[in-house]
Amino acid sequence: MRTRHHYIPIVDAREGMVLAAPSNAVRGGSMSFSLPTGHALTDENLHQLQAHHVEFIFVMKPDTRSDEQVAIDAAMAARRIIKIFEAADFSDANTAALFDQVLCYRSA
Amino acid sequence: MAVLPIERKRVIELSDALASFPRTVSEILATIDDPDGNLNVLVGCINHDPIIAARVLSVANRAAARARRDTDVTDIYTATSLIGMTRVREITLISALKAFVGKMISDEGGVRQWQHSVAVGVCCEEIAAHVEAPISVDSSLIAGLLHDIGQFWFQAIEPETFRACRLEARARNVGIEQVERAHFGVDHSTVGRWLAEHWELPDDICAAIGGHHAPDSAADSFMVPLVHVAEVLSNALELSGGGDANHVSYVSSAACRKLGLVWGEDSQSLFGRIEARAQHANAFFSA
Repeated sequence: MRTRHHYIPIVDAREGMVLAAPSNAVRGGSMSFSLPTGHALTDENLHQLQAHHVEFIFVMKPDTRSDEQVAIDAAMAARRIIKIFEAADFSDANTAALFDQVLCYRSA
Repeated sequence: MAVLPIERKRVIELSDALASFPRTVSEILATIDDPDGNLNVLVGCINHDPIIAARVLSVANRAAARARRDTDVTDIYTATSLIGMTRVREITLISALKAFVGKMISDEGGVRQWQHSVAVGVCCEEIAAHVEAPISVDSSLIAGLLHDIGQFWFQAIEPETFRACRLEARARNVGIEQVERAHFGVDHSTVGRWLAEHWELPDDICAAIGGHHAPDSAADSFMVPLVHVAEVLSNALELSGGGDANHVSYVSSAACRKLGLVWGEDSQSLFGRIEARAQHANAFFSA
């Protein structure tokens, strides 16, 4: 099944959600708590994340859109990004790389 | 017709008549390198401001409810242990600056401008945490929140002319600073730097407010390139809502190099964090 990745505030996290990236808490420069990618959150994990002051987590959710809708959404996103960057100088490699990454992010 | 430039003395006088810079922000800045002193100063500041105290306690009580605590959180020390000092400091700084800037906002454009400031502040924090450059996350939040303070000043003192500047910049698809210079003789970066210096903010924050549209001329600073890149990203990701105001003409290569920032695969998670935090912050602080 296709999935989409979202960052969500910890207050919106629910039991059963699956992590799309490791969730790490760092205290005093060292890792105090960590959950791996693909881990399904338990009620206990939600308390642990909160106790370690983790504010946001990266979760994957099922993408229920049709292939056609995915293509339409990607085309709309691309049009919008091109509009935002319409005055940009793409001969500058750094600006071009930023454009590519924003386009990739919005098309996901 | 030549425009008589607005002078620094007039900017300072009119600003002083408008509102006092929040002491809370200055006090937090003064103790930023002293974690123990910082907690006591922070709690003292919050206890003197009922609006900030209510915000902090509200977040802490929501966290307490999730942790199934039986008793309400009613003091700031307990709240800090529950939600963390970073979060409490962030709530305090954004609340204090929102109240201050709010005195200069007169229209919907100003509200959107503040949302942009919050987004840039959050962007600054996240980029500072993402790169290895030695940048204080708290200072970067303040620099981001205040980077356009000059625009708020224009808006408060010359609302009609400033509104015309905004419209002209959009119609011509040019940076607003260019139009401001034509109408006022100076742009918001310069006005903002004068104000920041008058409020005795740290040099790196003053430099960032004054230089965020010209990052290549600040080779020694980390804060100037940080605020420049944060503002570009805020526009690229439309963090303060869609509309004609979001446009990107360039991101300084020198600024990215200085920060050690490379646009590649790991930018995706950075964008995700920035977007989620900016949306959350603007929803929370507009309530």
